Amino acid sequence: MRRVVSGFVLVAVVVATGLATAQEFDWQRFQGDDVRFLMNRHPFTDFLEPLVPEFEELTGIDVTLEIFPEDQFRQRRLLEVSSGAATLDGYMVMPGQVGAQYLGADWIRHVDDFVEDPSLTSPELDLEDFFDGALSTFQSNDGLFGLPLQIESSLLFYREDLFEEAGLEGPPETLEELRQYAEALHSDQVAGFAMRGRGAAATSQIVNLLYSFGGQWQNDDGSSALASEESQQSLSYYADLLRNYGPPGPANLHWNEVMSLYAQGQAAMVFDANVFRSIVEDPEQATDVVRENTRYAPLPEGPGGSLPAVLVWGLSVNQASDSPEAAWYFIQWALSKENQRQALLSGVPAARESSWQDEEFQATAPESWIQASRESFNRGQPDWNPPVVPVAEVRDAYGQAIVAALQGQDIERALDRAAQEIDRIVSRTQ
Amino acid sequence: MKSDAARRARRLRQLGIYLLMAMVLVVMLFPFYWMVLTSLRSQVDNTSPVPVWLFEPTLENYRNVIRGNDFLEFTWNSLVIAALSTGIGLVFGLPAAYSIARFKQNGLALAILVARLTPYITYLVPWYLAFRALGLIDTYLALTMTHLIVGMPLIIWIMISFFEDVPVELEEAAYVDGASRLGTFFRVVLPLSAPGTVAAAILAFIFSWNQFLFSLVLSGPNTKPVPVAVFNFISYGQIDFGGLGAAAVLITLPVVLLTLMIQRWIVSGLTMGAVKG
Amino acid sequence: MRLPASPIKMLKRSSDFFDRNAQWLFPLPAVLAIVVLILGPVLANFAISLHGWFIGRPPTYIGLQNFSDAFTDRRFWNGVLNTFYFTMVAVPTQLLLGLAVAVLFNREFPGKGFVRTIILLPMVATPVAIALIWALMFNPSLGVLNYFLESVGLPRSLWVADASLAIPALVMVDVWQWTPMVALILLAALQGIPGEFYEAARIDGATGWQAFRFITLPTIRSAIIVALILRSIDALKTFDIIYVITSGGPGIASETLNVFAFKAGFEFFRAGYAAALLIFLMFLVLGIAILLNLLRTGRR
Repeated sequence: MRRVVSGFVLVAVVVATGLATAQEFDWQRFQGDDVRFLMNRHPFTDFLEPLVPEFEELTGIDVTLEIFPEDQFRQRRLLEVSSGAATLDGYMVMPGQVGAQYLGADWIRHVDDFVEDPSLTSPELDLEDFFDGALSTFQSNDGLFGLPLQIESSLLFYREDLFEEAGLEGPPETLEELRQYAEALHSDQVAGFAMRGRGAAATSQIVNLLYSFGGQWQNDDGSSALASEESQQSLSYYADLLRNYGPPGPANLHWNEVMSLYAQGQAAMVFDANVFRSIVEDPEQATDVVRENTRYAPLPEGPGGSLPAVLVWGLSVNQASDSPEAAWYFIQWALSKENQRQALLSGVPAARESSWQDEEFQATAPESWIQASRESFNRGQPDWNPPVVPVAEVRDAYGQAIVAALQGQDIERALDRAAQEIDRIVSRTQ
Repeated sequence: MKSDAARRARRLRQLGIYLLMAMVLVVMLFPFYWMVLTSLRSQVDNTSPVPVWLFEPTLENYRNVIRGNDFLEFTWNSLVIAALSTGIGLVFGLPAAYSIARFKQNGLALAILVARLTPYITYLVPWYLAFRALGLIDTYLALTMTHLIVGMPLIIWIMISFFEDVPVELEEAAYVDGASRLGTFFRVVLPLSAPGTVAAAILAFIFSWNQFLFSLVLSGPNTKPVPVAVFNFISYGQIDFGGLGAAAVLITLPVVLLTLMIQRWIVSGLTMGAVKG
Repeated sequence: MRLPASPIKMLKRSSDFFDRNAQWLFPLPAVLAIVVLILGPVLANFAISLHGWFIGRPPTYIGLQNFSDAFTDRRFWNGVLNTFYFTMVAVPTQLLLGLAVAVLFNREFPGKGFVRTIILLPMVATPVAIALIWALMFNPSLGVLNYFLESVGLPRSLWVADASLAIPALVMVDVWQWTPMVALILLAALQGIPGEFYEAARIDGATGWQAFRFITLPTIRSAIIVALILRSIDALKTFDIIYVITSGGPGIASETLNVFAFKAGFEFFRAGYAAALLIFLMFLVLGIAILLNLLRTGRR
């Protein structure tokens, strides 16, 4: 019945748009459709969720956001896209993480045909406005397969008041300085420094150290480069830092543990994604002292320079979706200029240049955050994961070496093993 | 004199035994107590480094869980799956159990035992691939079928001993009166084993309600049952302790009530008949 | 022209047919369900295990490669080891504690029926809920268990966040959950011992310990073995509490074969490899079940 009705509506709309020729973009064209998106429990999702009724009113499309904590979100998404579920219309995705796998298996719908069709893409979308580095991660050889929602890099969050107490000035500029600072700040009550350590989840953070020590994911021949001298140095630096100046049980830290430690004043410095500024500034989650005294700095310099990885999250249309156009409508709306601006105001590092130029944003956001974020984008390295298909398993193998290092085991051996493991894993899917 | 001391010693011993018993019960109940406590405390009280024992109870957590999470929908899914799989389990399982009891089909009994012993996860990969190919992921059909594997062997195994206890003479009397096998089964055998059937059904229902592994992989937005929904509570940003507690209480409550109803049969069910109720 | 058989006769004839074949018609639906839902998948596993199959790509036949991969996979052996570690600590602990609890409760006392019901709760409560509550209690900074430790003057523990404590902590949950079942099985056996046995022993001058050693234990021996079999088999395939509380972490410190197979299949999407692991797990569990059963029948 509903299908018949929406069929009628469709016909009516096509006729109407034909007459009105691009006079005004017709948001109501897919009225009555429903779309379902799988979302990561992420500050962007927290920002977007309450706005969804606006979209539903604008378009008459019914939206369900299914939200899961990150690990479950990934698993869920994989299960659904691979099962070819037509009821799944779109999802949050990081091309740098699963792009190769999803494109290879044809689970993502390319949207070029939508973009070229003025009856499907609002003239206000303005693709040029997205940061090149962000948009390009959504471009494959076959075209565009989604839009970026944020461009994320990790920053050093630090407490200026504790720095002053310890007689430290300004943020640490080198990794060696970072170590000294952590040592000076560390006490029984307050950890000097905290960072993710929970196996696979830590890989997206430790990659910053890997690059800055001059390491790489892969050798020129495509084999894993994790056993290299630089990789060993970075892991041993990391383990030393967390084992000596970190909170108890570092191998258990995911970002939410790291951030709540910091928000509760139990760590003097943490290194994690800039997007978590929203947690630090939330009176319900962070203590007053933390909120008032937090400053931000880019990744300190290592022997190989300061080379932060840049993570781009975005929204894509599911290949099997039974209403891809409605899903594309949702994506356009969710990432419109105004919504990206609002997202950035709420602390999500939006992917549009215009959002960052916004005066209100520049007036309200902490200066050190804006500066540190922009600096990181400029130096950003795109591959924050090894560009391979079985990425979950590869992350897991590296994650095991990270946990081993945190437990004080032999780092060279752990990395050798991880590298061999990864080569085996990758060779299996070739 | 002597007997006085002996009596006192005995009383002390008695007291000691009661104390030990009380300790065992406290340990057993503490997690449940903590669950209820957590569900009634505000987030501030729940995240205090020193446990807050006295506090103003709030129903806010329950309100949040039920309203904010489609909890009723998940409960409905759980109910549908558990009821369907238990119903089919009875239809399939009762005649099988009867047949095993009457015709001494020990091979079949063994096969069912093996099905119960094999790790459930063994079936999951082929099921997943098959259901995926048939487009049955996230359907009640798929979940009911898989939950049948939890309930049916249980029903069969419990019912075998009940049917064995039905005197053969009664059945033979019915045959003499011209009743058929099927008629006898329905009119004579089943009524005599009604209490067992109820217990088996409730136990199968509980096990389906508690099932996590199958639902984790095979359910989706349309069929997500409560255990999977509750699982989604963990590692969710800042952990919502109170909400978690409330959800845990809500999911456990029906099971506890059902347990109270059939407690004497549960032991026999859980131990695959090793202990009779 | 022949008249059609009367409906009553047809009914009669079909019921005759049913009666004659009741032996296999009665169990037929259940057998079909088992064939389709259990035997089918088990056989399918063998076929799947011979393929390299990254879900989302077409499978390729690779013979026994998955099995030989498993035997050189450190993670596989880690899983085997953890599975045994978990089972071999949990089950004996449950047997000992269960026996103690059974002996303790094997007497008349007020509220007996109520207590028997309470004892059931840990094993029927939804495992996911149980696991979540324990996870809260294990929390190193906010959990109530550390508070207890501190209030009796012991240092705080990381519980499941510590690689060397993860399995013992999980064992603790399993022991809490399943000791009651062992206790109930043994209690039923204890209640079957005639009181005269003990009286006779007392007349012969036996101490309490001797009575326990020479009367109680031998009589409930077979019940103990039943409990041992049931618990060992279930412990070998524990999934819910491990997956919910640690997911096998930190690292792979508490990853059992069960959990590893699940990850291989549904996180790494290696259907073929997961199938191979599951075949191994299945034989492991069934083999141990048969072995323990021999112990029961062989010495009766």
